Amino acid sequence: MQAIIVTLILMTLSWQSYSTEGLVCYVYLPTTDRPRAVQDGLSGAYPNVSFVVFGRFQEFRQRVSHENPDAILTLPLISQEVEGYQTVLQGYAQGQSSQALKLLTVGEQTQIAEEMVVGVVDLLGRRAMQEHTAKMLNLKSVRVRTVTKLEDLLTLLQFQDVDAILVQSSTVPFFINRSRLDLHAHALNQSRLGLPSIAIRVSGSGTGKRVKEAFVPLSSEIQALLGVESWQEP
Amino acid sequence: MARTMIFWWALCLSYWPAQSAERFSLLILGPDSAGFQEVVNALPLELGSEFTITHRIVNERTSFERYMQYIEQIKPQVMVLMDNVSINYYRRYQHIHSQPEKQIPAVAAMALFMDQAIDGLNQVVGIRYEVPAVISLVNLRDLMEQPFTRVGVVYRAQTKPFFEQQKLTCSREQIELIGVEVPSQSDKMNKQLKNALSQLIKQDDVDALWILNDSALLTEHALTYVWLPRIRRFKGPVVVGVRPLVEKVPLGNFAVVPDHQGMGKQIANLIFEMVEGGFDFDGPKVFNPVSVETILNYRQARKQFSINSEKLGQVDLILSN
Repeated sequence: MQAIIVTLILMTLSWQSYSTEGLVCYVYLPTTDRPRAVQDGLSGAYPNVSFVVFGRFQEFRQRVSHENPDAILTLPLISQEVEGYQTVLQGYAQGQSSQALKLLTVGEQTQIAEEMVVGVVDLLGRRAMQEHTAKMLNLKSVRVRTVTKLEDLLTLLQFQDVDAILVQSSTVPFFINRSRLDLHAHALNQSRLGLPSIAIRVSGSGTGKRVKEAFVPLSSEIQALLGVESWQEP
Repeated sequence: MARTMIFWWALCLSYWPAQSAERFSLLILGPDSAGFQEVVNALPLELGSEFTITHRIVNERTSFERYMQYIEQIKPQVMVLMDNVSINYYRRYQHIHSQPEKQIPAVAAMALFMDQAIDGLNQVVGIRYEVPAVISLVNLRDLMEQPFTRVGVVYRAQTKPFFEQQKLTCSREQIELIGVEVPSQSDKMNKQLKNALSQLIKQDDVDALWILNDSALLTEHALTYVWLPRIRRFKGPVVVGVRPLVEKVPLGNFAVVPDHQGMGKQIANLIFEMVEGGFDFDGPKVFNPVSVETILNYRQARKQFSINSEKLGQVDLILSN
């Protein structure tokens, strides 16, 4: 009888060990697709990884700090702010690990000035986004309105709640195709944002190797979803 | 002795951050039902550690005396007023406490007819709850393979200013809103509705319909005997503003509803702007909601119009019933 109980306990323990063998990766990426669609895409491409995709930066940050997943897939700007994680794979597109930022306005005229109100997707929390946006625009300070979803930026322009929106250059066609407003994209000198990267929990031994093995296949669907063409070690 | 010292050190350390950093006191007054709670839950995450947030439930059963007690006890520097009861009570509060030091800046949200609700209140800004047509229709247009330009709307005479405002913002996106007005009140409302829908569908030949969240137009009787029989004959997108009308009642095939977490972020933005401006808010008083959720009844919709399947990932919820 005792042997049966011991066997059952061992079976339970071994099942638990097996069930947590897969990597857990938390994801936050400001894309045009909903978290549901991103989760479906990633889970289909990497069935051995359990993904949890977040639609809001604050929720992502809170859950990562409380639950310490094996890996996080997000923009380097965000992963740098998360304690205890180290980048092991950096996304590249067209040979670069970052992309240019553009200022989108209604009408051609724009004058970058401190009194302007700029709409941005919240990547760091409001205070940090104010500093980051000012830095990207080469200003001392700037007024920002933060939104959760990319398309909410267009709403800010439609209602003239902001003077301009700050976006990644890859998303400019999304706005141009979606709207009939007279949108103009303005290049910003040397203002760039890193492409998605994967960081692992520093204390997770062997996780780096498993992450690299898991994420190396990069199908065309995943390339389109993440906006990266290849992964490289930093 | 050592344990006493450790205790005092721990006590001092626990008090230190509170004394060193100024935290603003924020009082939320409003109901605790599901939608409101989503907004309330979003606020601490959005506002971070700069605010001490207190939520007191205010609804139709709350007395005005209790409402005043909440404000006197908490002594907030800024408030969030959710729904018309909290806003109407604040009007009474401001009337009684006319001294400038008693005028507490506030953001009002989740209330109907926000423009009228906060009209005349001091230091109060509001966010409308109704999703503007331009947001709903641009979301729909982006999802369709064949873009549309002419959208029909039935509205009551008393909501004409709202319709005109929607028409203006839609025109900037090259969407023409074609409205048919019905009386604000009528014994023959169903007949008026029938004629209005016939005009839009047969004579005006609109590409899509946008149905207003107006309970006087969407009575059970009107839904059964007017809307549903006519909508069945209409080949095109029908946009509604509440989930049951795309899920339980087969009226719409696409719904655009407020995103409550997004509403929380918008409230937080306004609160930050109030604080940064030294609680001297001189900008616009009423804002449109920025963030929405989209729901597509896929089975119904694909019979009525062609959907760009590559855009389905942009829809929040896809129903297949």
